[in-house]
Amino acid sequence: MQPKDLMYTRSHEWVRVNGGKAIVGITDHAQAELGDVVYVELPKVGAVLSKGDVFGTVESVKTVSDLLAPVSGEIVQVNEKLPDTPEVVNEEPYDSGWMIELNMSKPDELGELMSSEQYESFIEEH
Amino acid sequence: MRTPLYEEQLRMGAKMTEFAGWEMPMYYSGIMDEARAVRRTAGIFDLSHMGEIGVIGSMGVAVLDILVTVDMCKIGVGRAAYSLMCGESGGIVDDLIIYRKSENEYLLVVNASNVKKDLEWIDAHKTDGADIVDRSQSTGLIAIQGPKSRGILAEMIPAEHIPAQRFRINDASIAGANVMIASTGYTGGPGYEIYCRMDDLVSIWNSATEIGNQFEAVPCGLGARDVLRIEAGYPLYDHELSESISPVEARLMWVVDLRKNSFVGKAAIQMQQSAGVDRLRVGLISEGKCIGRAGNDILVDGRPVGVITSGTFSPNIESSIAMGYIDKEHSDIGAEVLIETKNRRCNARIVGMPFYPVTVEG
Repeated sequence: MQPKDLMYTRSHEWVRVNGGKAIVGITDHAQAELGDVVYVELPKVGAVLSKGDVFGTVESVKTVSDLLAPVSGEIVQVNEKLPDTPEVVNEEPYDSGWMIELNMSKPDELGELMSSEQYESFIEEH
Repeated sequence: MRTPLYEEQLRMGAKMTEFAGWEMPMYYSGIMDEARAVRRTAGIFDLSHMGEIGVIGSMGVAVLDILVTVDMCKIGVGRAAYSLMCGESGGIVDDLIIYRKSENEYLLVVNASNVKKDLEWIDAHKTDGADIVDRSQSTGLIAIQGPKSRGILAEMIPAEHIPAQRFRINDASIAGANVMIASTGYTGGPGYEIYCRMDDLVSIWNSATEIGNQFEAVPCGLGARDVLRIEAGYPLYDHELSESISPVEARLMWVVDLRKNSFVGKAAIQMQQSAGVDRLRVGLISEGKCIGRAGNDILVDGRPVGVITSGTFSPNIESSIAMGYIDKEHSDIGAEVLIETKNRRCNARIVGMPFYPVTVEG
């Protein structure tokens, strides 16, 4: 089950909104598909992203996958622990496995994201 | 297709993947954990997707002798051998294990993705007095691999039925089911493979995993199997092996017996060996967690000189390891290269294989 208080993308990122800020990570479904994560590459604080931009990569034993910005904004924080402990993306994808925090420049874009129920049926269909 | 263990595997938390038309476990707890367990204790694998072809009859040995690169005279009853089948031009049609079950009965274990092609290839070369039987759908296979595999097996069958040396087979009975125990595997460690009727697969799996528990063995998926075979430097068909790659390039001449009178591909392979080849299979270790992937270019001075065919992170030597083909002039051990991955360029060097020391004694 997906946490109900988050919003989701079709590329399997989640978004936790906190005022004008958004925390982004990958979903439990995404980490299970990837298998053991061995490397996470994240951008620098201050980078400015448009919705859909590649902001990093997550690399597992099996494959490499791009991380896509769910909304536009400037990066105000990245999870500095991930390069050394990438396995937390598998263990706690919604908590210590978070990846970036954005200062949203177009909060309206949140309307295009999926609710937990919508995401649940999306992954069942795909 | 599904093996009879499908439901049980889902119950055990398996993450499934599609492989050669079969839905098989990719992993249960995690690829890295499982690959570590096989080096430390043991792993138990359902490999029932593998292809099994029976070759029966007094002329079977003659048919096989024409098709495979090893000398069939050296495979006595109760023995097994790793071999290749090549085409006329020397390209590899498949790699396989040949088991000699009795005087006039062989079992070939081939890649799941190649069963149809292999059957046609063998049929095209068969003669009277040899029957070729596809047993892929009716044969189940469970592998127990790792230093504790012998201990686990000794709780399942009388110790005297366990093959005492590598590449041997014995008949045995597990929970009333007739099985063939082989001291073979694809992990580069000690281990056994249990061939059974597909109908008996569930009871043998339950027995193996239950006893395995006491030895801290874990169920393993195809993900760990791939990591382990790369650590051992073993090639995989469609990655390191194909019909456009010869045993000389793949550095598998140790299973090609050029003293044999004749076999399909001999002339081409002999010519390649004396003339030399342009590319060779090599092992590579890259810096940090920078993993080369199949299809990535290998660069020297910014120029592509080879291509990666398999890569993974090895949890047992804690390095990023890969195999690939590289121009002969750049294939020396110690040579520095770059691997161009999707998003990075990794510093790498050519190394000898296996990556993980192969120790087959349990």
